[in-house]
Amino acid sequence: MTIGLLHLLAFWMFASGVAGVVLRRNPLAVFMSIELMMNAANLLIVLASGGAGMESAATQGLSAVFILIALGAAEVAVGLAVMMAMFRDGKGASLDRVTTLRG
Amino acid sequence: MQACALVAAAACVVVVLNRDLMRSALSLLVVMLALAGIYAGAGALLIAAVQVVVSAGAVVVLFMFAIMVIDSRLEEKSVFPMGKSFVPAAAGAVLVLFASAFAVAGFLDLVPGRMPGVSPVIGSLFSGYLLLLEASGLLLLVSLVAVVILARRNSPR
Amino acid sequence: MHPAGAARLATAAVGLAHLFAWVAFLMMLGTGPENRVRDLDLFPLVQIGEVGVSFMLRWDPLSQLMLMVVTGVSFLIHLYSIRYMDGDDRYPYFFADMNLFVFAMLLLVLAGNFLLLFAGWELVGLCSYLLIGFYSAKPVAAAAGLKAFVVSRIGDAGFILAILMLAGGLGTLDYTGVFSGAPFVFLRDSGSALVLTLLLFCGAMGKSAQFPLHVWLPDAMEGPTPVSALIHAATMVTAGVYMVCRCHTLFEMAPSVLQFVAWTGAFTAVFAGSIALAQRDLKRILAYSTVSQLGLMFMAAGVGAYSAAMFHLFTHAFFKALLFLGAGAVMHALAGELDVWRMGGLARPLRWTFWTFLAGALALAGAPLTAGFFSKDRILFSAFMAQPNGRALWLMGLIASLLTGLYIFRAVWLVFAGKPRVKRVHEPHDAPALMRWPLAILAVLSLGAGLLWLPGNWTRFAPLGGFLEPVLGRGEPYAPPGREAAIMAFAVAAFLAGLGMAWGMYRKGAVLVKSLGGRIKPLYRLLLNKYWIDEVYRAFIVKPLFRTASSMEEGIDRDAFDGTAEGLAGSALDYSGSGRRYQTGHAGHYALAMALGAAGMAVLVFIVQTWVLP
Repeated sequence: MTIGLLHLLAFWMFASGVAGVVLRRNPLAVFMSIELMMNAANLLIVLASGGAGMESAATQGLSAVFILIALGAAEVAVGLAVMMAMFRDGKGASLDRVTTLRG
Repeated sequence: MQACALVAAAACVVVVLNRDLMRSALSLLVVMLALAGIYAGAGALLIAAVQVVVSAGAVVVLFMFAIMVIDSRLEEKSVFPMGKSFVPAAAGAVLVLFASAFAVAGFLDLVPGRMPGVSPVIGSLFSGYLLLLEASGLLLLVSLVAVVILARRNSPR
Repeated sequence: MHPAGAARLATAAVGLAHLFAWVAFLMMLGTGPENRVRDLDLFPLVQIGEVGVSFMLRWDPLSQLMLMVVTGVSFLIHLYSIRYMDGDDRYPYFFADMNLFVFAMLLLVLAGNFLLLFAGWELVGLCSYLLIGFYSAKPVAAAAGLKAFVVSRIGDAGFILAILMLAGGLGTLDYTGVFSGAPFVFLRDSGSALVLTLLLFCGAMGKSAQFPLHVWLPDAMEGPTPVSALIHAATMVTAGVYMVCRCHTLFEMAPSVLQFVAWTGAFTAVFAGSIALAQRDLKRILAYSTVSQLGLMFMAAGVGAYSAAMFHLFTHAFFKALLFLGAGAVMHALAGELDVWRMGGLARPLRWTFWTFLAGALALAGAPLTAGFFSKDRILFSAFMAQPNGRALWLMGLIASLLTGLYIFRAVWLVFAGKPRVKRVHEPHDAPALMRWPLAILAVLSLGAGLLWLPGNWTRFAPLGGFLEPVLGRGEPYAPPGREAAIMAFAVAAFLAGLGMAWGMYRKGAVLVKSLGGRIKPLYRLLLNKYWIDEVYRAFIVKPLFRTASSMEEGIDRDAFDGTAEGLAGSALDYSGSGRRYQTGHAGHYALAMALGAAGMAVLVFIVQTWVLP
């Protein structure tokens, strides 16, 4: 299998992100794990772009990554704002308490 | 590049496993910077720069602000709330790791080839990807507004 | 609506209808006999396959005759009811129902195709059911209504099948189309003709209470007396006769069925007459009498004398309605008493009632020169002259006439003559004015209506017969002059015999009966209990059906259907119960699930890419 070290890193980051999302109680920590996952994806795209070898394909990949980074920032901003609102309402310090969907 | 990779891998374990939120955030910073290093090493200079400025400089800082505003820096008791679910969750994560590996396995080359630098990417952004660029700008504007509203909504209470 | 207003409105409506009937009659007289048959197609109703049915009315002498009878008698009965039903708290409802009935009956007789005929047929059945059960507080009444509906339904089932046969075989349900086309499709004496006419007669048997479907009519007496007079004497029950006459073209394609009709009628006439002899309830005597007279009408139709049957229908409507209204007056005077053995001595106090009732009785029994005499004589004559078995039928008709005289004069004697058999609380009073006049008018008609068709050997004056000829054909057999007179003589003899026997047996407090009673006790019991037919039906038909129905309800309805539904619901609950445990509410769990799912997909993609596609 042709997997390089960097690809392995990307998968590693992604898996850690998943673990963080599933396991952490604090919503902020969860968020950070999500950010990890996003970056893992970005890394993969970058690797894929370079590996293609064709000028135009690589450019496309990198443009996508550019936009994706911006997207990630926007998402974090909004998410944090939501989280602030949650904290202010008295919930959300622990994700354990968010069980409205229980059924 | 390999060094950056190892650093990143180590730091992301810290992000996930640490009880101290601030330490998690700082480790996240390390991860971002390491990634930037990788991008630079591969030749995608524009992306490396953007990674440092945005991901490291804005996102992580934002996280730190949030952590500072919300005082609970330390999580209660153990990091893993569902004690008995830890094993399945960890196993799940590993599974995800390898599954994704297998999924994309055959389709990638070992080392990144020649990477476009700054100008080709910028050129492409402002020609082919112009719509997307502007849209993401709009998206950022909207999220700005949303954040302001969300952060303020409950203050009359 | 104010009760009195409702009654007046209803009566006025029927009166208006009768007026229109006269206008129509005069219009009909104005045109020559050849163009008196008219069809009026108002608007299309349904189209099923290639059979199109529209709202079509037929206006011809037959329907015109029925029109006059129905509206006229109904009007008189409405007048009577204004007073008779006074005080009942469902007074307006009564009149509404009666008017609905009149509408339905008119629809029936004016229908121009079988669909409307059937619609009217069913609707009168409904009104009958509602009106029989009018005193809904009495369970007997409700049961009687149900019995009427169910039993006539059995007949209706046959009727529906016949209509379907017509629609299928001829592609049309209009009278014109059916009557002209039927002889070609249902060949004479063929199996299909037999089945068709038999099914039609089935419907007639149900509606007109012929044996064995006669059982509902006596029970129908639970309804108010005006209802009995109108529906169960003059109009609804005659619908069967009307239908057979209307479809005589069809019946003529199956002569054996016509024979069957005649014999059923004759048998029923004698059978019902015998039961009437022993009844205690005044209205039931009259009910069985109606069954018997209807039998005579069917006998006439069965030998092809359709006009004679209609003539008797015509006269019977008058005197039977009269008798029922008279019975109502008696009940009114005696506060609801119906048992003739508890009456007696009413001739003097109820003078008006007595004389009109007597007129009706004479007409029913066929006293010479009364309307009943002429119509019955026509029937007997036609029967005698009929080809196969005519004499036997005639004999049965004669016996029925004898019985008629006997039972009706028994009733007259027991009710009006002698001394009161039971102590009365207060003096009975005769019918009030509004009830008297209908009685009087009907009495006049009962006595005089026969003049519309005098027997051939007296004179040629027979306007009624001529009037009906375009529709029903002449049906007047030729006979040597003496023959008719002889038959008439026999009829008169039967009448006198019946009268005499009744006089002998029942005058002076019925001493003779008491002494005879010992010896003929078993016979008496047989007749009183109507030959136990109701009990037989109950044991052999009703009970088994009931048992089948309840076991089906248990087995199918409860166990199968409800069981399945509950079982499905139960298993749905179980499944969801076990599925619910995955909904922990923790977002983390959900995220894990998503991640595992995504991982699974990835593996799948890999497998497909490497091993399946290449």
